Amino acid sequence: MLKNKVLCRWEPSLKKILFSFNGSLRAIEMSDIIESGLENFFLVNKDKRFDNALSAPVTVQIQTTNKCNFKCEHCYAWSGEKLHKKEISSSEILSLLDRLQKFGVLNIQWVGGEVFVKKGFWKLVEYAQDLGFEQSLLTNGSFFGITSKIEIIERAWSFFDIIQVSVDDYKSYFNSFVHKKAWDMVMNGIKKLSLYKPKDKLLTVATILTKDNVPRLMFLAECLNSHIDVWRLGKEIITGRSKSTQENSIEALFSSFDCLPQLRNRYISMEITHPFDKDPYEESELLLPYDWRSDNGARTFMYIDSTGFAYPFPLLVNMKEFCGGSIFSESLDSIWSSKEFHLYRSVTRNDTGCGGCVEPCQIWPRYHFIQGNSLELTTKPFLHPGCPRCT
Amino acid sequence: MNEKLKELKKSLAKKSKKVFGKAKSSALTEPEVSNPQPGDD
Repeated sequence: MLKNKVLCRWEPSLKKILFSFNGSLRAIEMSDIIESGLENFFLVNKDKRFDNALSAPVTVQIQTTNKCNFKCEHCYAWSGEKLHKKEISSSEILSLLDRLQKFGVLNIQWVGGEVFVKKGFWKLVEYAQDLGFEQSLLTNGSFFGITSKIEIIERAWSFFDIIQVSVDDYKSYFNSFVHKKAWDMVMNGIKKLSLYKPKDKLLTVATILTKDNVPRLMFLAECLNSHIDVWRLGKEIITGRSKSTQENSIEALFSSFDCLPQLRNRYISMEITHPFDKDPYEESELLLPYDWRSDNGARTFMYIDSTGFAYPFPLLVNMKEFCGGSIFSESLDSIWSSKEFHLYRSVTRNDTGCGGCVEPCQIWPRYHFIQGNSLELTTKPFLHPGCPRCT
Repeated sequence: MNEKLKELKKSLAKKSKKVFGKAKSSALTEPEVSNPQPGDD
């Protein structure tokens, strides 16, 4: 293991060095690295492999466990009390981290289940930090709510650039489908995280929009405002335990979009994002096609589930046609080069409904149209407000 | 990562370019040099 080095890699398609800074991917000239002293860097060299993807992912999301202290009724990963029979062990994750470092990965996202249910999770995080990875955390927040030790909160912020907590409804409505004490635990966690958050870190809440919770978004906003930086509203994906329908999920998107101006006017401490938002970007700064950020699976991103199988994106876990193989039997490079990953990355925004838009909305990615265990590609425009092609 | 390397990274960030253009949910946390994106990259 190489400790205390800045992790970076030569990316041949950009002819630049990539590194991650406060959770943001940056590119720099090789000459700047040489000037700063090569001994300070762990530099991975890559050869060009693809025209439509980086030579390796920059971000890998690792599902540490499928076990969760909550059992949300819409969970895409079927997380809950039950442990997968062949769940990846902590020592296997440590050796995976070594492989990911050598493969040129720069960012690790930790996800569950609930990560804190995994025995030895902090050791994984410490090890990843020693290897030079930047890290972010996706959690249900309850662990932070329960603990009385402030040093645990401070410890978390010393490792993670971004902490994202899932809150899918308000008070007793939330408890009714998550856990009888979920709301108090999670909101306590958010308040503590907010109180001890360093200025350069990001606290985010993600909420899946449903027909049921849209009328309560205002109440939820009242509780979150002043504690968090970003409130990410997302489309319910019809997979895993979700019993919703594509129609209901889309209806929730439309009705929530109508509430947005009011929410944004009233709650100004946090930024509220919605899938129908247009996503303006500075073209002068853009080094990679917009598509690659909007649908990053198999282009810049890889997901590894708690049994070691790798997919372009977490929401595809039940779809064998996109499984690039197991980390226990394949090299990371052969997974990244697999025909399954190639299949996923071969479709562009032009193949989807909003392909012609100049300022793309965030709804176009294919995983928004997952239905059960299959992916429904949209070939006709998905008309919605906020889309320049539609309005 | 030690403080020295953090400073080194910060100074490199000033010379570097964002790989993806400015995202809507950016410019939130970083005082002077970068635009962290609370997404996947």
